[in-house]
Amino acid sequence: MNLAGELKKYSSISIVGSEKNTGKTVTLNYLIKILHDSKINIGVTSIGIDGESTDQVTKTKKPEIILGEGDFFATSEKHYKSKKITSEIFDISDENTSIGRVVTAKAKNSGKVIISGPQNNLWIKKTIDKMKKYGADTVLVDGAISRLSHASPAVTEAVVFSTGAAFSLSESEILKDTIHRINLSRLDKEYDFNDEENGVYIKTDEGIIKTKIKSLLMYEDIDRYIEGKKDVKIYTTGAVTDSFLKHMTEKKYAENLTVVADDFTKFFISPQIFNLFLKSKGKLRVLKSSKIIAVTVNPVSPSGYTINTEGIISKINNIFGIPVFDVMKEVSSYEL
Amino acid sequence: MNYKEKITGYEFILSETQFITSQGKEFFLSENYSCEELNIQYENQEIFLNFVRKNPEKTDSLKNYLMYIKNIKNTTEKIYYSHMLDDTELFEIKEFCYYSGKIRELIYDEMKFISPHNLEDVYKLLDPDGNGINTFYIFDSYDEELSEIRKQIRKKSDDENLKLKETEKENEIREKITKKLKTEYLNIAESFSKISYIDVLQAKTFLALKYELTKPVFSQNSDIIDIKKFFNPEIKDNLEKSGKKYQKTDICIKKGVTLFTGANMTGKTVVLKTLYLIDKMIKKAFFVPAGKCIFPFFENSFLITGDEQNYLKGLSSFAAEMKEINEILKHKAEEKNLILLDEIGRTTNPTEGKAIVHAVASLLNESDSFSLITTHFDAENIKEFAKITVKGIKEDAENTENIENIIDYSIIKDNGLTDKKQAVKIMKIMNLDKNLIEYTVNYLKGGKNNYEQ
Repeated sequence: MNLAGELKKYSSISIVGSEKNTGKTVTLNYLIKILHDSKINIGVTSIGIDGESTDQVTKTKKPEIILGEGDFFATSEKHYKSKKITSEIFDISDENTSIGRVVTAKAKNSGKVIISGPQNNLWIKKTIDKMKKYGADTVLVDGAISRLSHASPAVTEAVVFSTGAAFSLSESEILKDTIHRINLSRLDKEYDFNDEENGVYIKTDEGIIKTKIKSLLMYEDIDRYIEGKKDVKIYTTGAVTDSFLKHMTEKKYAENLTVVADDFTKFFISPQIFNLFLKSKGKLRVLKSSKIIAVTVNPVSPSGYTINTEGIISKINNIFGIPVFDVMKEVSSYEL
Repeated sequence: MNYKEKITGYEFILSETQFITSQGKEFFLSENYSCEELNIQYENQEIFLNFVRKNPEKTDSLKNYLMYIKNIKNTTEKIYYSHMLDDTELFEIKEFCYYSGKIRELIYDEMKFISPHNLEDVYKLLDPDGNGINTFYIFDSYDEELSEIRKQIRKKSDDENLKLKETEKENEIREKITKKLKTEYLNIAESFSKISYIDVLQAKTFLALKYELTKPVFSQNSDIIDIKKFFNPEIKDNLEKSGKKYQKTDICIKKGVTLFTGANMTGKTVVLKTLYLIDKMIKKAFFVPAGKCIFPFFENSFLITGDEQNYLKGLSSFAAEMKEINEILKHKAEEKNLILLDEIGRTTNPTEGKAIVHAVASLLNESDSFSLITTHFDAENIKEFAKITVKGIKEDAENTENIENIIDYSIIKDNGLTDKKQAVKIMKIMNLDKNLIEYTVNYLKGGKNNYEQ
């Protein structure tokens, strides 16, 4: 099994990074290339984080993607106009981002494009479906894990996780974090809740109620809903945090408790708290399951240090049996 | 949204009018019609309704195609001012021509007057390979030189010089296309506007079908309002949702002042609100909520109900009402207005209140307007105005909590025979506090003279 073979099993894959500059763009370009070389028709888009203003705040530059002839891509009008390739327009969205509508097009030759896409899950899904309709077999989504974003990378069928020296120069730190992320992405699915409007919901033997609590950041207000109840499920449409799970464990609620989030990217928790909570017999679940199917490691840090990636690659590969590769080396170790 | 549009149910009508395109709604909001234009509007509306009835499948396709019509207004303006279009704009024009053509195919035979123009030449201009697929870029086939440059780029993809040449060539072609489009400007812009109008017609037609609205008969010279089986769609909808029945009624009033009397809860206010609604709907060329409707064309319409928002401005309810009446009287010399007043003067003492009603009615009676004034004040001795009333509590009424079941809402000529002092009767039927009813009855007996003055 090679990486292209693994990727082509899925019709949509998002690329998610552990930190800025972990080589997400390098990964994306690498994936585009190997899929393209395997004659798989691809589409590329990105999850927009509310347009330019956010970009300026977080100082992240939108990546330039290198596309091959025949590849589909969807980007906002502003970036479509600045593209450096010849491309054929297939669709223009009805919806608007702060930098224009989203244009879906097909590359007529190879070259660079800046990708900035839709800003919510429904719209991303629609965009993915359009590209599939026009002929893309696999759509790659440049994903972002952000509490600010209305969209989640888990909207795709699978996730490629990208990490590296930008996250930490310590091999063991990178390993710990990556294993943690993969574990989170493998949480079981929960069926008792549907995609609800924003808020915190609690299920006890008396049924499901919507609480007056807006997010789990106000975790102390939750106590009165679950005090003395057995088999409690708490579902939040927002983020699950360390402080919340710690509180639940300290109050000895964990044993009876299942905490549910939309998908694994909504868990902003550390490996320590994760393990503590599970040890106390608490359960974590997701409404939508989207597994990490491959990991990429960028050995070069933004300041120029290079780390050795061999240990990381072999260890993760041993534990999970998924492709792990160094983006600076042309061939994935998995293929060797 | 204006407060009166909300309380009369016009806001409900607007929210139920389902436009498919944003430009359809824009078109609707920008249109205001004269009396003559309204007649044409209603004819168009009727032709469209017949088309919908006769061609359910074509109608479905039409609605489907409308969903693909994007707002190209800005792009057409760019064509008009000869600003070079970019690829996204050219794509929009191509897509528009495609669906415009589909719509034309569907309706041309039966509704030529609203059909978009033939835009095949424009489509061909944007589809040089004749693929019939709605995609766009500056195709190789536009220019041999361009095709040659691109071949070289494929071999040397990082040659900036070649890229520059490509861009220059592309812009040259875009300029040429834009120039050609300018010769078709009118055809494109008119087609766009016609399709927006089709959206307005379909939205109104489906509203009419859903709520069983009918085409009104109206003219500038009509001196009668004669409506059979009229109803307020919002109230009817609400009643039916809670399993209750709405009684449709008839009304006939002539030019001048008509006093409208009747017991509490007999729906007089709803009648006023619905007349106001019908006038609003006619001005926007909607079919109206009635079985049959003869209606004059009014210059202005006024409605004063007790639940005005003016209280919020800090005026007492009496002062607010008087200010509004004063406004109406300023207009009284004008051609023809619809004036609907709900229990004016009720917020002051009965003696002066009655005098105010009489004064306002007398002044309005001199004008060319239609005025309908509801009042609880004794109108038995007033002979100079027409009078109508609501039948009211049915003879066989039994004690109940559902008042609407025991009331006959029919509107009849007030011949002075109907009993308008039905408040006590209603209180009894509602099973209210026995002491309250007894006191009221006793007071009426003992203090009759007092009350009458």
